Amino acid sequence: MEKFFKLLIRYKLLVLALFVAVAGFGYKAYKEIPVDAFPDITPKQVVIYTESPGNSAQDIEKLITYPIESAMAGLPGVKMILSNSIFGLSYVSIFFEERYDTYFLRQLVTERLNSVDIPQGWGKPVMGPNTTGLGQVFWYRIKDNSGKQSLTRLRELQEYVVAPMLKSVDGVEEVIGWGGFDKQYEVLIDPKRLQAVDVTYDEIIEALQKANRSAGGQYLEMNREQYLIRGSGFYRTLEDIKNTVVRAKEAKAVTIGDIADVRAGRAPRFGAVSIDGEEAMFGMVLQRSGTNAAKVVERIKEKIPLVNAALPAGVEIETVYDRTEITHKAVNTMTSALLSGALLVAVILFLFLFELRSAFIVILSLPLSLLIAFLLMKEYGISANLMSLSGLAIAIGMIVDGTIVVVENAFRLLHDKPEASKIDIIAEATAGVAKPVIFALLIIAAIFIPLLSLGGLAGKLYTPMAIDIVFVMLGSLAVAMLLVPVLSYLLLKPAKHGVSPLMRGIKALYLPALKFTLHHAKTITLLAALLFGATAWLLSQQGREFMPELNEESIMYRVIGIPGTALTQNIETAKEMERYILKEYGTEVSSVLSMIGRSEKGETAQANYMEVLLTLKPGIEDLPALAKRMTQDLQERFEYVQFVPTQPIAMRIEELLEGVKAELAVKIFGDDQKVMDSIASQIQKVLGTVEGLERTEVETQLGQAQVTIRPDFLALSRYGIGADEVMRVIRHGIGEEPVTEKIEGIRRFGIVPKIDGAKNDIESLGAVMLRSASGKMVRLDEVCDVKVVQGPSFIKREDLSRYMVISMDVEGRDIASFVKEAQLKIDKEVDIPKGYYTRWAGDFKNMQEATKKLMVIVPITIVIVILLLYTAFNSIKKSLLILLGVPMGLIGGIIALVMSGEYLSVSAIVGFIAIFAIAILNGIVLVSFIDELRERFPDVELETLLKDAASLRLRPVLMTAFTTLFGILPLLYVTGVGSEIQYPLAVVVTGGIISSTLLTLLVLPALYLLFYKKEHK
Amino acid sequence: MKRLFITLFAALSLHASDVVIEKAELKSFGKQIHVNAKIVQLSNQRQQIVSRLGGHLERYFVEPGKKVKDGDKIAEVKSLELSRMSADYIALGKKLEAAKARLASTESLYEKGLASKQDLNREQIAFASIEADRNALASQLASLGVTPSSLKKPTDTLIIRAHSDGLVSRLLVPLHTNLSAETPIVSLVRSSGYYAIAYIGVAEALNMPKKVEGELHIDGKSFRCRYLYLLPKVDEETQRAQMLFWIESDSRPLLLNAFAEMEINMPPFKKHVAVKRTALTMFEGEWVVFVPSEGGHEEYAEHDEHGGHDEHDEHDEHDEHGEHGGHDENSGHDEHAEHTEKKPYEVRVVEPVGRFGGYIAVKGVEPGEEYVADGVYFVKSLILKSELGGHGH
Repeated sequence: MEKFFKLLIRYKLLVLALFVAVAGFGYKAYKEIPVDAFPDITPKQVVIYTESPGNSAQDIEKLITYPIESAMAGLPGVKMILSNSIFGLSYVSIFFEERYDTYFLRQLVTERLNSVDIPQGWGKPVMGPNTTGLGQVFWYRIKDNSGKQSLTRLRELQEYVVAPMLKSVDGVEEVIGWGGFDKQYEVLIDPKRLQAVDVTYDEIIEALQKANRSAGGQYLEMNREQYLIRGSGFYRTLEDIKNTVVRAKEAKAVTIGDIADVRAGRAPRFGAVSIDGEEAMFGMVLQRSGTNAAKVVERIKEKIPLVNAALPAGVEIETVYDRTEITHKAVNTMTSALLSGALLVAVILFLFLFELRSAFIVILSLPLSLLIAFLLMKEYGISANLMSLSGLAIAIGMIVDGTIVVVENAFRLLHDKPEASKIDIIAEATAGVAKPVIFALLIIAAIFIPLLSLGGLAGKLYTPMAIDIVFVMLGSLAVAMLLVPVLSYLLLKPAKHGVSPLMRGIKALYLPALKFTLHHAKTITLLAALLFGATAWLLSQQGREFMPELNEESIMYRVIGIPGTALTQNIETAKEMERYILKEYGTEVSSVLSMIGRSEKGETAQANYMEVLLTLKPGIEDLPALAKRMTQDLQERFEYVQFVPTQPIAMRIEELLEGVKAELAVKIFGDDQKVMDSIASQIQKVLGTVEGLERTEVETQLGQAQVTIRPDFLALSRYGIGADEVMRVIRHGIGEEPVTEKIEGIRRFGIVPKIDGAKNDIESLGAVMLRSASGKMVRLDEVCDVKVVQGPSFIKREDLSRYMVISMDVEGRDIASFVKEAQLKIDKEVDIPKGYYTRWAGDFKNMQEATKKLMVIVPITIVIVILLLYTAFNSIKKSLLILLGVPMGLIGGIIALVMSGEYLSVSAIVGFIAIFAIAILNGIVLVSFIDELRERFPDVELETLLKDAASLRLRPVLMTAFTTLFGILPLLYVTGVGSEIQYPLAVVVTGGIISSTLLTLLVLPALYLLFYKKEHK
Repeated sequence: MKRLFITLFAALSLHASDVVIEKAELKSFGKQIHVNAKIVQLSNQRQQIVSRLGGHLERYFVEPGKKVKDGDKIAEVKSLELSRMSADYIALGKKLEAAKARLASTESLYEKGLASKQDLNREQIAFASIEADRNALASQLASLGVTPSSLKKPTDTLIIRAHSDGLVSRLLVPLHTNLSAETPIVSLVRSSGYYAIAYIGVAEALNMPKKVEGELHIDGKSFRCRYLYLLPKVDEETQRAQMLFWIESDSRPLLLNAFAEMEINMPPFKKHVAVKRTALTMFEGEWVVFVPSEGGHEEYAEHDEHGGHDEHDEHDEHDEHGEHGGHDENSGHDEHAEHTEKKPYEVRVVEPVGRFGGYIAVKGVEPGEEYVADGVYFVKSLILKSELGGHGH
């Protein structure tokens, strides 16, 4: 070993060059790695949506959703299939196992889709964009400052100018427009006039379709030149449509103009966007999965001046939401934690070492290890996000541990052996601590590696963190073992060991305490065990949650009206609400955006649903208080709708949790929606009696009023009218489905033979006249049963079984205990018929899954650690002795967690894992030194040896503890986006370090004494 | 009547202005339907002007669409027959004068005893016979529009005149045609003779009351129509029953066979309790209206009196409430109780039995009973919200 270090020192220039290069590449990597707010937590899923305009949820479920679901069920790797059939749309989401490649899965789905049998005219299934759940990286508004452009025109600009240009940006998967009106050309027919001109509705459709044609006629040659022949029959003007001949009798032609008015109109829509009290044209850019959000947004921003140039004068793109803002906020939070951590560590090091040169070496190892970690992050495609950066922040104190030990030893030996060759001393010093350092760092890495196997959302969230810790620890190992000997050789000088006044003070306190514990070893050990038992009990009583809520520094609401609320009503509500917010909260809110219903592509929201995002002015002091006050105020002012506070990213995360937009939910499975509805009411009643319930919301699937038109076949036969003709009238004449298109350049607008006044009210629907080919005339309600009924507004299914959701918020209590109590009450008080069952979902399920995984992971980790310790010390007894230090660390962690009032979340659990590592590290440092002393002075009494060892190792132990503590301390105090996610972790680690250090220094020697007293004698 | 009492315990604080309460009224209900109608004329309303003599059609004095009055010139026909008749008339005049002279000389001879009584009788008969022929011819000429007294020489010009007021519908014979006697040459339409056949569903027709009124809409113009009777046969082509209306047209011309829209109003024939259309909504599969339940209404009336100020009052109340009890455990219940006193509404299942204009006849509401006439959406939202999104503790 010594030879290796000597070699390193001999080729010092090479080593230095290597690290300079590594640092350079590391810095480049730091600049280039993808930056995002969150790790990509989207499960492997492929979405299939089928637009089926005008069709009801029941029909869509039967004819579209079910065939798609059953075709997809047989695909390899399918974990779960969720679907939602709503008015006009089927949405099927297939979740796959993580090991498959997205493109391969999309390929499989495409192949299967070909075999799905959907009736003609019921829509074409398409795959949703290949994006992540957090893929909406950029929101914009097409703003008309000139006041000349209508919403229809703005929509046209979105579709044919803005979207294609933004789609061409690298990394953009899809650009979705929301709001405005789709232009269509309406052939407004009064069916009564059909009698006068002797034509039928079908003939009008046919005439429109046949007239709007073009054809290529190849070419002709004349005078050695080629003339192309082109049949150009596409409609060019409205007059062309009017002049379309429907029926020609001798020379008397009946044209569309004779029987209908032709005009430009607006297609029925399912969503709208309102900004600051006015309807607006809005767009969202989705990034392709696997791309760098920050880069994509950057490129979009670069493109925007070009898009603006392509827009008419006075019209421009205005940014509404930009993912990079939150990303930068989150990254800044973590970067500032990292930097202040590094600074604190540097200060601590100097205070302890009290010597500039050694402090410089140790401090230098900080950025170098981080740069190595960045290099590895880039290599393995890990983005810099809240979680991965927090991994670095957690490890910042541990990075220097290896270096400290090496430098400390070198310094000591240089001081002890001033006559020896420097190269020999440094090599000896490094080799002396190489084993414990390598093992300690390997153990830290080993402790975090099992986190990688954490599946589900927790796995996706915490894997980048664990990997980064491993990376940075590897980096620190490389620095400690390769660079530090060289730097020590070059920089350290044999000098009198500067004793820091801080150390002097600490020692004065520590030694009497140690003496006391060694004298009362048994009692102290017993007390420590009791203390651990007590705190373990405390922990078992502590509330649990999956993840602390991310504070995105924004206010957002999901606003839900009653099922069946008309889009126009909800638009009115949105406008009124926006004006109210701006009036009452003008000092804090600069803009309010409401996204009502659904956008054009595969969203499942209905007209009664909207998402309201507030743009806040800078400098708001107490955002949570403002949000609370505003929520209460809005709830009172607009009490006919429900306000559910949420945040942009949190909401998307919630949606990814099995499509349940709540932290906790009960899913009721079964067949009949009415039965499920009744079960839901019962459960809701029961939940009301459970302590901690803040709000429940039954996802009402029923309550959508429907006008059903059921053909009376006998009655139809009397008039010679086919049911298909009736359906065509309903589809095109009433439902406004275009029969052909008017092509204007690259733009296409539907031509709709619309029945005038058919949708004035329910009565006028029944009064629509039908005319048979033979001329017979009849009202729709004379040949069809026109009835108003209430049906489902949507139908949700999971793995081919229908379900209903009751979502809830739990406040002032941990979710796990709430669920336990609620489940007991449900079992006791709710009558659930056969064929129906319930299941908990939402955040809680993730917690459950994560806990289950951790139950396996933690024992495995312990075994790995014991194996590593055994390899290092070649003694089971010693391994166990070191491992016994772990509960000592946990005691502080638990006390800190309980005192802070934080719940036991995955974040806190990761904190405990970190303590595990620290405790082991402390144990190794002390135990290996005691062993060394025992070897060197076998005759000295064990108690004296222990006192000396503890006293000599006090500085490195305290240094590693303090660096870790101060490294992580900023995470406790840092505020800003993302800080709350790591807060529980920081709390646990802080408490854990304190107790672990104290107990390592006091209880571990006592334990050692108990373990080896007899042996030593 | 099935009644559903779901009481709403929630305040309609600021949206009170959107909720309008009215009283259910007894209203007479009729029915209004819109159908196709065809403008027609009955056969007895059409006239044809004939040339009573054969001849050559020289000219028309009219053209189609021209309004004519009784006696107006219609056409000129050169008639040989008229020429002969007028010549005969002139000749008969001369013959009559000769016969008269002969009769006078025979009378004087008879008085002198130079002629027998027989001779006198013969002359008398001859004179009377010529006179009768002439008178007959005079009357024929007069009926053809020729004044015999002014006839000095034979004429062949026959002026055909309108024999009633009307509108020239068609010129039936081209000019310069040789006509035979009794050939119709012009079709005349009496302006008061437009009718409309409304095509309505068979079931509707069978239940049609006798007293109905119609209004014909054509190209933005409206014509009042009087219902005459239901034609005994359905229209074979359309399979619709046919109602005959007389169009009470003013002098505006109408185009025959044109299709137009007929609005048929069946007059109020039955009294029902009526609520505004805006009051009805579908709730749990049934049509309902919302009615203020006992005690809630007075409070509401009070708010109405305050007009716009109630917004403030309510708001202040909320604020105060929040100040002193917002955080204790019972605060939610207090709020509950407070709202209960204020404006409870109940859901009333109704059965729509008829519609007319903006009103719907319903069973399930008493006359004079108050109901939510507008702003139903807000009331329904609150009720559903209280059912679905309950608050916990």
